[in-house]
Amino acid sequence: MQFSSLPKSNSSAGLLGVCAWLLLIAPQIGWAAGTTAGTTISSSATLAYRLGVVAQPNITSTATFLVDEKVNLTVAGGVTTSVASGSTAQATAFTVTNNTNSALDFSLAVTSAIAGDNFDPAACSAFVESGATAGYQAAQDIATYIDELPADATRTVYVVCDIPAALVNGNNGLVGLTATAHGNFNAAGYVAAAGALGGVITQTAGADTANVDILFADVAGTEDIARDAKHSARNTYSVALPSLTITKTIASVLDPKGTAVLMPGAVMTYQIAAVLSGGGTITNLVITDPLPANTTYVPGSISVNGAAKTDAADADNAQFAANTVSVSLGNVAAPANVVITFRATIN
Amino acid sequence: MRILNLLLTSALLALLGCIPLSAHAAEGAIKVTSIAQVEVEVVGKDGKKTLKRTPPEKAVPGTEVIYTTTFENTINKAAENISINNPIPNDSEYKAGSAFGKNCEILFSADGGKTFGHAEELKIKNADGKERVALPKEYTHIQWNYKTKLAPGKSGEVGFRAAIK
Repeated sequence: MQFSSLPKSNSSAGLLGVCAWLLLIAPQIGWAAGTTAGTTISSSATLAYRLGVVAQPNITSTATFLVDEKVNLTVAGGVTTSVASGSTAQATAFTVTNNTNSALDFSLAVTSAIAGDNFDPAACSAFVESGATAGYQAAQDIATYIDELPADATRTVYVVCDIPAALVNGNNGLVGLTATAHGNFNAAGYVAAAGALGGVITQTAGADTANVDILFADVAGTEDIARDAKHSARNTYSVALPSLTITKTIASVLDPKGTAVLMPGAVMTYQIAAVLSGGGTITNLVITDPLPANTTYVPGSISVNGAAKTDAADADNAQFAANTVSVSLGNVAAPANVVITFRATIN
Repeated sequence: MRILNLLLTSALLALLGCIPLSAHAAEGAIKVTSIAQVEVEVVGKDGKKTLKRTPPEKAVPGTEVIYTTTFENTINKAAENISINNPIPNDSEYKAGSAFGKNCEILFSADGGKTFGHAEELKIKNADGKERVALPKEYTHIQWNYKTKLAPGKSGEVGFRAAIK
């Protein structure tokens, strides 16, 4: 029978709407991604009865249906990464979480021409953390899409961009990452394809089917709309020149009596803390500290970040010469902390 | 009338392109039919919101499903001691207070159907061996005991709600 021959009433129009889309607003309760798409849920009612005093065979009736696929993902950003103007291949980290009740693949796209910032990061690419070494490693983190991300699993994705030259301190550049769910369609809905990015996922349109239906349940991101099998977020590159703070303290005192009184013969442990903040790199950093008057250096007492160093001007980066402790740190990328200690005796 | 309405509704849904209810009517002296449905909010032309039941064809995790079993005496003799037993479906969590059934004593099990009792009688042992009252989401089975005879031609309806985990 054609639908057009049915009586056209308000109620039938309403029911059409039900079939097409209104199931989307069925009550949702959280179990993370939940039961895997394609699972058969089966409910059996078994009825026992008697006729007179004679027990009769049980009668069972079963209702079954398939769990449908709810495609949902979360891209999390909101991170500010300090960079130096003119620097290249600067990584900023996002995470992508698969909230679908099935494993899926995710393609990655970067947006850098975003209004409301001071500059556009250039030559951007997105790479997936391999898991071998934490942090962005250009040699290891080379995958450009997320392959087979299980339900409820999260991966780190690095967006890597070049920062234009001639920017000033405090300039910000926004960068957006959009992840799109992909999969190969089979009886269980869309599932992840191993070793290759799966196809584009399409939502089941119009009437419901008895097979696994596909519903998009993602919310809008910074670069995408709701229910499009995509999600997105933004990070900020912030231009910050490196700044160096040096603090010198007497970390401890040991006098000849075994107490901590500053008296002749007492040994003081000096600590120099160098804190490099902001972004970029300080080149050829050397920290020197002439010994105060009336003190005598304790030979062989220099250590840098807990590692002992010799006093000679040799391969290690510390020396004691001309009554001065000096440590050559070379090129240091911000942010960084360096702690130098040495000892001196009060004359 | 209730069954008639149900059948008419399902027929209408089928005509409208929805899939017919996934149900198997078991034959015998008593015809037993179990169906699964979901409830959706429909906004009418007047802006009023009403709840409609439809087949659970877009059933994603978190969806609350209504399971209904109807039973009808199809012979000319009264059926006695009718008892219906329904395990909570797999990957589902019973919704507290949702079991219904006119003229029925409703009992639950939290031990896989070994023992049945009223909600407050169901006990579960914690890992430390201490007993506590079972939570509705821990129920494993529901049992409806029909309190009277079911006369020829008469029917009854029982059911419950459970959310897809």
